[in-house]
Amino acid sequence: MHRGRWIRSSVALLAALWPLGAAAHVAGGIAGGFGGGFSHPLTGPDHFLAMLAVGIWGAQMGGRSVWTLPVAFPLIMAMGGVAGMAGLPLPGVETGIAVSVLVLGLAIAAVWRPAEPIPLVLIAVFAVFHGYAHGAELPAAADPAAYAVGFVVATGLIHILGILIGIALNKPLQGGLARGLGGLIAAGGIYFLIA
Amino acid sequence: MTIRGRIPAVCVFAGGVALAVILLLPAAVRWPIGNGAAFVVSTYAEALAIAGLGVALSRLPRRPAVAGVLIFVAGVLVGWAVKDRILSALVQRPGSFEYTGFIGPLACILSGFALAVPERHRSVAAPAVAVPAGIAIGFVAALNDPSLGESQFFTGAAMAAFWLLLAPLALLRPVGAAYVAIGGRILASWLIAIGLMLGAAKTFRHQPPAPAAFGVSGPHNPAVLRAPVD
Repeated sequence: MHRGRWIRSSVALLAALWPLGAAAHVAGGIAGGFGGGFSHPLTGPDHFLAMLAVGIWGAQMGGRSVWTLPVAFPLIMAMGGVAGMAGLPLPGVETGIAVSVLVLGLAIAAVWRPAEPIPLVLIAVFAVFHGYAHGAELPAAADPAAYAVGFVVATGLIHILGILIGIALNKPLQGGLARGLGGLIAAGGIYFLIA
Repeated sequence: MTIRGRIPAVCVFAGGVALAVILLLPAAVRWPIGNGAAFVVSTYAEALAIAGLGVALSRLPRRPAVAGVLIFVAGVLVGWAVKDRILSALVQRPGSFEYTGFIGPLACILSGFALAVPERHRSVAAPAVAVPAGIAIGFVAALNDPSLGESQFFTGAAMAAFWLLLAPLALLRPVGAAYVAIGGRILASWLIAIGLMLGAAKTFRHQPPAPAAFGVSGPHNPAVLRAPVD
């Protein structure tokens, strides 16, 4: 019984850490279609960690937060995407994304359970930065429709992966693994801030 | 589960296999009916809107669900039938043809709202959204028919659209768990986000960079200025 839990926890941890080895997030030239959009959040460790952290944090808080955060993120991300496509100025996009990774990681590590509106507001602010980065790239895509579908679906799947990881890691060691993973995510955020 | 209860799932599976075979065939040997079916699946926004509507209808009691399906079918036929009227109206206003590109994103957003609204409003919202969704797919299929009015292309498109609506309806209807409701809300947010992004992508279409004049380099080149962030 315990062994099964540990195996599940280990698999979840490995799944969470795997993208850290991915190549740096450099988007150059004309982006592709569905594949380009789908791979954009997956191949960028900063986007990936933030979106994963949204799912883990929601699962850690439990209740309605399990679904309200993953529902709010793509909606607000789309608004940020529209701003990016329109070419509206948004200073410090990359800093905002790095801060989102740091704050979400710290929230998981500290098992922070604030009142429901606070995570939603935080997620909304962070989602604007992530959406802006995607949106700025979208009009240049070879197939914008396929690109948009690809990255929204990938974002959602990362959230779902985060929820599953959060649920799997909440019990063992009284949530210690989830807190440890949150610490690693926060360390990633510091790295993105410095780099 | 009885054999009768499994009939919808078996039909959906058979339709899915047929659609997969059609998509795997090269366009040259698909026949117009196959090209019509492949076209509907390739229109991301419209296809997602129909699938989302199917999920919304699957969460309804029997009567409004059946009404939604019938309204959708009627909408597809109306969209196909009124194509020429709409086109002639669009031709009279220069530049208005561009707006047909917003049909898919709008259908996506409406479908997302039909899924997102609370349970008590969905019985009205989902069948109501079936009207524009059906008309949209009928009109867009008729608009993109390369055979210019031959019924085979449209028949294929209508059948694929019907499958996209019925597949989630038949598969999710027997499942009453709360996580389907949560999945529905997440899907709704995806549909609205995709619709918004697609609409914006069509509004802020990428302008190809102008050929660089002598002496214009680096930061003055529009292509460089529009380089992607991150």
